[in-house]
Parts: sequence; C-alpha cells; structure tokens
Amino acid sequence: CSGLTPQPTTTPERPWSEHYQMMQATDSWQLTGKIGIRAPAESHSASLYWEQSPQRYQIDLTGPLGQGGARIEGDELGVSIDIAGEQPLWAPSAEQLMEDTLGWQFPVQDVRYWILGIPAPSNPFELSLTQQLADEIIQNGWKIKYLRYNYQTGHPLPEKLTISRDDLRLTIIAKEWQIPH
Amino acid sequence: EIQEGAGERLNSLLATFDSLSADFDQVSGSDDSRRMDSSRGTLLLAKPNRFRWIAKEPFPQTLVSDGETLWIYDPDLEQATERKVSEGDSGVPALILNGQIEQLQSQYKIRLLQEKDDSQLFELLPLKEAEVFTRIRLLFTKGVINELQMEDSLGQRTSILFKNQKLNPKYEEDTFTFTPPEGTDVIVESSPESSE
Repeated sequence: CSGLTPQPTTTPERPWSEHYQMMQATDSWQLTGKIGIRAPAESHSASLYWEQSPQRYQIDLTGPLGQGGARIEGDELGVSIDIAGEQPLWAPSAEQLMEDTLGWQFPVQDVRYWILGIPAPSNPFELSLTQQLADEIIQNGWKIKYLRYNYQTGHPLPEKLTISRDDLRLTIIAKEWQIPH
Repeated sequence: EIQEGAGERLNSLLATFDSLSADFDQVSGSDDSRRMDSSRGTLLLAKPNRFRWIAKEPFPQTLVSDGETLWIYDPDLEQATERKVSEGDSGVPALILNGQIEQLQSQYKIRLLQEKDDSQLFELLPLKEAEVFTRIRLLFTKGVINELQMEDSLGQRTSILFKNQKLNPKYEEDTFTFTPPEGTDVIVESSPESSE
C-alpha cells in the first residue's frame, strides 16, 4: 500500500507519554481478530481471540471451517497448549511449547504489550512515533510495525500490526477490542 | 436404532449430485467462553474434490481447491497460502461434501440417528482418540444437505447452515482456481514431507 501514515480522525492527539502510561495500566482486555502466520514450517491464518487479565491469559486460534483449533492458556506458573485432537501439553514457558506444538512462537509476555501499541516493560527498546503513536518498535530481537490504528474504544488501539524476527512474520488484525473501564 | 447401512444411506444421499452451490451461515463458539463468531458466505463445489468456500464476515476468507492445490486467501491479511492437497489434508467438511464416504469411514463411525418424514440426521463419531473432531452431525431434508455441525476436543462447536442449495449447477472453467490480486503476499508451501 502507499505507506501513507494513518491520519487520526477526530480524537485530539494525546501526548505519547500519557498514552504510554494509560496503555501500561491497561492490564485486562479482550481482543477478537485474525492472525496470519508466515513461518518456514507452518504458514496459515487463524481467527484469534485473546483474553488478558493481570495474571492470566487465554489465546484461542481457530482455522477455517472450525478446524485446527488451538488454545493457549497461561499464568505466572506456566502455560498449557491444547490442540484439537491431541493431548494438552504444559510447560513453564510458552515460547518453546508453541514452537513444538504450533511450529511458530512469539514471546507472549511481550506481545501482550506490543499488541496494545507500546513496548514491553522488560527490556530496552527502539521506538519511532507518528502523530504521538508508535509506528515501529524494536525489542528483544523482534520488530513490530503498526500499519493502522482504530478509535473504536475512544482511544487509539492498533488495528493492523506485524511482528517479525528472522524468517517468521506474524500479521495481526484486531477487529474488536473490549477494554473494561 | 438403524445401524447397518447408515454409511450407504449417507453415501446415496451425497451421490444425488455431482456439483452443488449454496449460501451458508456459520456459527462457532465454545460453551465455556461466551464468545460466538458468526460468518456468512457461499460454497461452490464440484466432485470429486473441487470447491470454493467464500466467507464474507466477520473476516473475509476464500478457500479454493482444484483437487490438487488448496489456496487460502485472507484479504485483510493480504496473504494467500498455496499448498498441495495431500491425501489426509482435505478436511472432514470437504470429505463429507464431496461424498468421499469410504475415506470418512476409515476415521469415523457413521450412524443414522433419526429419520422422520423426509429428513435424516446422521452422526459421525471418531474411531480413534486422536481425531480433530469428537462429533459431527449432518442433517438432510428432502435429500439435500441442510446443516453440518462439528465439535472438536476443545469444546469448540461449529455449525454451518446451508440455504439456497442448488444441485448440479454449471460452473465456468476458472471457478476452482485462484489468482491472488496484485500486492498479495503469496506463500507457497512445499508439500509436507509425509513424516507419519
């Protein structure tokens, strides 16, 4: 596409620092959308449902025609991945378990922030802004590009972003955000 | 309960057409999460195993198979995956709609649950533990498929209601091939080495 940066429509621009703080404090939300996975071992797309609360998360992935369902559930102790037709598996960390079961992985603890449009609090990052919103973040060896924002919930949340590292690229479309006030 | 012959009955019902077109409403969700996704679209199908599944909402997605290659196109992701259709690859819905009953019977036991006036309700249960779907139901009315319902081991239930079904429609040449639009990120998957 033409690479025109998205023009925020009516909402007055909030300075990045204020937006950043607000998003960091947002620790419970639900997202319905879609994920496109482009990985050497496994390229496909799935509908995505992510339910985040302060200590717990649940990510449901469903392929076309209700096939290829997978549920990732995690808390501070660890994570379980349950794939339709297979035994559920548990591990202390999501990344390796995802790689083994899904053929791709992403750092769930960081994506939880990237998906809101902000860097994860854990490590140093590089950030470029456009109109007070993140345009690109580089953190932990991953590059996150924000292609579109939507203002459905009153403040700007990413609508289309890509998360990539080496030969893995994930495209996430956030169709509907639900954030309890 | 009518046991024997259920496979044959299903076979005969699915043998009444060589091609099919229908609109569909698809609803999927699981009992624990209150979330329900619904989708609408059109299915075009021609035996032995060609189909075009065009879902319009909530996420536009098109699945096209000419029996050798399967394309999965997601316009909002601007991504199209192209992969060879391997033997076990064509999903259960495709097996059912294409009337490939013997292949289905190698994985699922078929029972005719109910039959009254002109409708039949079939149920398919997996023969072994590791099948994706734990239960499939098919409803036929006046000899035409009306509903396909599938449950997987995660408790995710998908039901597909068909309407405006037309039997044996004529299709143009390119109905079951797919050319990705300009700018689409096309991913050609090498055919999975049959590890099992």
